[in-house]
Amino acid sequence: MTRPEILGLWVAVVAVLGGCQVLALVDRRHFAGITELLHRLTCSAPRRAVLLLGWMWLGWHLFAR
Amino acid sequence: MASSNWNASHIAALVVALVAASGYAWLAAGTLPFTAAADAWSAVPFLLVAALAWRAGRRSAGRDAVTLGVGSVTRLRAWVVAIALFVALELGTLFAEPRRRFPTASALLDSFDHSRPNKALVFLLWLLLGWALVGR
Repeated sequence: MTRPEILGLWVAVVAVLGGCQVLALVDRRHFAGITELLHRLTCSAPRRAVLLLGWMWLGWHLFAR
Repeated sequence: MASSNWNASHIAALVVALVAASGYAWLAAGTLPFTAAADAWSAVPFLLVAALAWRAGRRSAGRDAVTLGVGSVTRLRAWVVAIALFVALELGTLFAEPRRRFPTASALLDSFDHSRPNKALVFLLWLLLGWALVGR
């Protein structure tokens, strides 16, 4: 694959992620929005701890290394 | 009346926090990777968010009863697909060479945040994500 094709795939994935939120706004009964997703992911201490470690790694990876 | 006062002070606190976080992101964006300064500016939010998470954990002790039931998993199916696509593309590009032809998400972000304002924006979004994880 060429670089423009890979960039096109990234654009498509970002569009799908944005589409999930749009879907939730259009049909709140059947689809969860980003707020509910975060709530579900952080509602127990172990899950919250794993996500926090991921968040810390992301910051270290993007800004310190 | 009390409710509107509380709302006004709540909004003011949010604005102050956002301005402070933006200032912090701007200062942090002035550091270079692989330096002690970059380590330090990244470590301060680690400590703050860890402290907030610890406090939130103590507050909600015994209330972690929310589980991922069948209904909620069904409601989350679009996110599961989208996140799986993201992970698949990230892994696919991570193990492909050369990086220039197969950019990962962080390689794309690296090329975006060469300028200080862009890097400050990415840093601010990272801070907001940390707050979203513990501040609700």
